[in-house]
Amino acid sequence: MSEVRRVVRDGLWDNNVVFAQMLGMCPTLATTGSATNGLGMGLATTVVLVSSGVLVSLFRNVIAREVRIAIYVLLMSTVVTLVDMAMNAWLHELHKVLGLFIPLIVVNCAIMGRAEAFASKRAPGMAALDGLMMGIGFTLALMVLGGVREAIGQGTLFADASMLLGQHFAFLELRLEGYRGVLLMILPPGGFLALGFLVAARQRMLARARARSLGASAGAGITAGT
Amino acid sequence: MSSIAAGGLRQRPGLLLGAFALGCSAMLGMGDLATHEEIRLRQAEDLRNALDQTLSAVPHDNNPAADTVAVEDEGRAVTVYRARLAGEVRGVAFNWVSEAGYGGPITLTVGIGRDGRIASVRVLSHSETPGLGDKIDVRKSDWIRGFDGRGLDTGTRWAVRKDGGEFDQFAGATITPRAVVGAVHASLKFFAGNRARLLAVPAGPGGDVAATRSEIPS
Repeated sequence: MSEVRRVVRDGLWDNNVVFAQMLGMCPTLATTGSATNGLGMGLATTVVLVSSGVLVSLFRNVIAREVRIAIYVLLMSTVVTLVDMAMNAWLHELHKVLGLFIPLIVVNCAIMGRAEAFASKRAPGMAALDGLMMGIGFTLALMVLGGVREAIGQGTLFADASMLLGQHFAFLELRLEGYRGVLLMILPPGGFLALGFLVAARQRMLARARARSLGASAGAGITAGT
Repeated sequence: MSSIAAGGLRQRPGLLLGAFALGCSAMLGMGDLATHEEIRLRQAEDLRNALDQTLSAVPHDNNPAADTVAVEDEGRAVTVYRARLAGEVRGVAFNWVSEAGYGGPITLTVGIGRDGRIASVRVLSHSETPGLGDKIDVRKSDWIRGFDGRGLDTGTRWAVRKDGGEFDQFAGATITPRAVVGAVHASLKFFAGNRARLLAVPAGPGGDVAATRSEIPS
């Protein structure tokens, strides 16, 4: 498998930040009361992942081992603060919804993890791709989690999406009339529950795929043997 | 950075860290320069929107956002925005932070008419439980409009029904409406206590015509 494909697969599925690496749980559980909030948080994190990855990669030959963690923290908090200011200025409505959570990005260990495990060893282009894919994987995971919680919790999907993306995206907003909702799913315990079930579902899919490929290779072995 | 300088810095981690701190500070400074003005404009817009909503029932021809009085009352510093018609203050609006609701304090924008009656109340920010406590938001329910027209002199019992008052609590949520009712009541007392000062028209541009007029309510 080519390296690019590997990186893409890792970010989106095999090594997904939320479902496989189980990193960044704080923003994951805190912001996924709705699919829209999950999407917004995911996008903001993606921007930080890409830019901090590129910065770390650019300076990878300069950064001394002894102080690397301090320098990564410095770079990440700078990027997060810049994203915060830029969003406040140019995406003000979104900032009002997510403003509280943006400082949380800096404690998202996924960003530190990617800097240490990937960006510090690779060229900037590859680091950017890795950041982008990890970010998209994170965003998708947050959207699925937020969507599940929102749908069960209050019978809507992408509520207030037009506040985040503009009026053109009002069609995304779905509402189940007459559904009273299960409040628990919106509250913090619902985050843990939904995450647990989603991780379990993913494990089941992986187990099935593994069993299938084992069966296939065993079958191939028998054919080859006869 | 030349490779020699980079090599030198690698030997001195302290200097390297200092250099990065300097670089990051410079980036933040530039970021602030680039966004400062825009953020100020957005915040001014937010304020104007909040004032438009809370003072829409008060006839005025000035820009309340630019007509402020700073009042300190029992340790609370409140910036009061005033709506005037032909120089006379017809109503005021200000932000008022409630006692803790279910998810922490709730910030309200309260508009009060010259007569001491609520013109309009809006929730500026809250972190109440979605689906229960968030009915205080006008986008979710009309409950908050129930304060309109009420004052200290309207015989209103300022409490939720459960506490013997006349404002509805929500199914499953009493703490939130209780905090809001208490805050609105407190803001009315604040207005009553500082009425003369809030309605006084200072001498100066736009104010000198009415400055000589008696400030005793008609």
